[in-house]
Amino acid sequence: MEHLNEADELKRRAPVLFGLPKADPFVVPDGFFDRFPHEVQVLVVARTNSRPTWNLWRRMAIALPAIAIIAGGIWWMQRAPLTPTIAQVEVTPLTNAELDNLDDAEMRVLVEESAPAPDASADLGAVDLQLNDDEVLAYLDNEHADLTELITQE
Amino acid sequence: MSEELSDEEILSLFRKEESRHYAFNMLVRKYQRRLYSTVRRMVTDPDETKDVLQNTFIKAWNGLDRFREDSQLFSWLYRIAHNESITHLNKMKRGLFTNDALVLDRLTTTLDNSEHFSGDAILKKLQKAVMRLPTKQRAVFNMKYFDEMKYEEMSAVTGTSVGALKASYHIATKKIENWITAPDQTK
Repeated sequence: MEHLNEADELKRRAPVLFGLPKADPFVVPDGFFDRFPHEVQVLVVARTNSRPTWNLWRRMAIALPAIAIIAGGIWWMQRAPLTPTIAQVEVTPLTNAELDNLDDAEMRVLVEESAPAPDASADLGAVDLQLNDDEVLAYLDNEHADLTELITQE
Repeated sequence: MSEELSDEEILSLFRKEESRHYAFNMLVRKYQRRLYSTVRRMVTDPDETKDVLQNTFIKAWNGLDRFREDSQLFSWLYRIAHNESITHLNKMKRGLFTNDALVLDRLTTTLDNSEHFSGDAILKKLQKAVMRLPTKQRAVFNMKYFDEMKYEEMSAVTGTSVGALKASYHIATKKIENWITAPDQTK
């Protein structure tokens, strides 16, 4: 019924078009429909066989950058802070009584440890002389140094 | 064609791994002629028709597992062929041919030079008139006039409402009538 109504409408609206034959004017190349299913089958098989490799590469192409980003994030979160923390060492000064109980060797070690680090630039021309007591006394005598003054000098 | 399987038989065989390729071969054999006509009317050139039809069936192979049996297999294939034809024509526009006029010129030249056109002068004139329609309107005209599809089927294929399809077909038939009855058409 719908088809008849549509046909009537077409006949009224476009009578020349309505009167034309609906035969398909396009000619199909010889043997096309015999060959075509095989050609499609070949394409389908080729694509089916190539798919696992392609999928593997595609998955790797997606996975590798994702892994790199995650690893970078973990490294960023776990790395040491930029400003290193300085260890706080509490130094308790010795009392006078403790100082009195030290012998000369202990006093010498204490003085050496508490001495400030020598300035590297100031040491450039210095010579480390290994002198014994006699040599030191001979040097001081030669320089006419006053021992008393040296001992009491702060 | 010695035997033609029903859609249910084809789908059932396709789901089994051992008969998958056989079932698909049967599907191609069953529907290739009808789909060829559909694509050829849109694309015109026989070689390009073959390419579009191959793409259609390859997409069908990839999607047949997900095909829902509540719709007709042919309607589903027709929709793929329709979309592939539109995609092909759009590619043609974007590629070497940059606008509708040049695409029309190419299609009509192909038709004039084609040895694979058996129609007489009036049928050739009709085909040229159809080619002058915008791509989607041409598809609507072909579905209704040549394939005699119902509007509901056309709506399922194109995703366009029945009302819009009726309006589009109405306009298309008027245009074509005017074109084929015009006295002096050189192209």
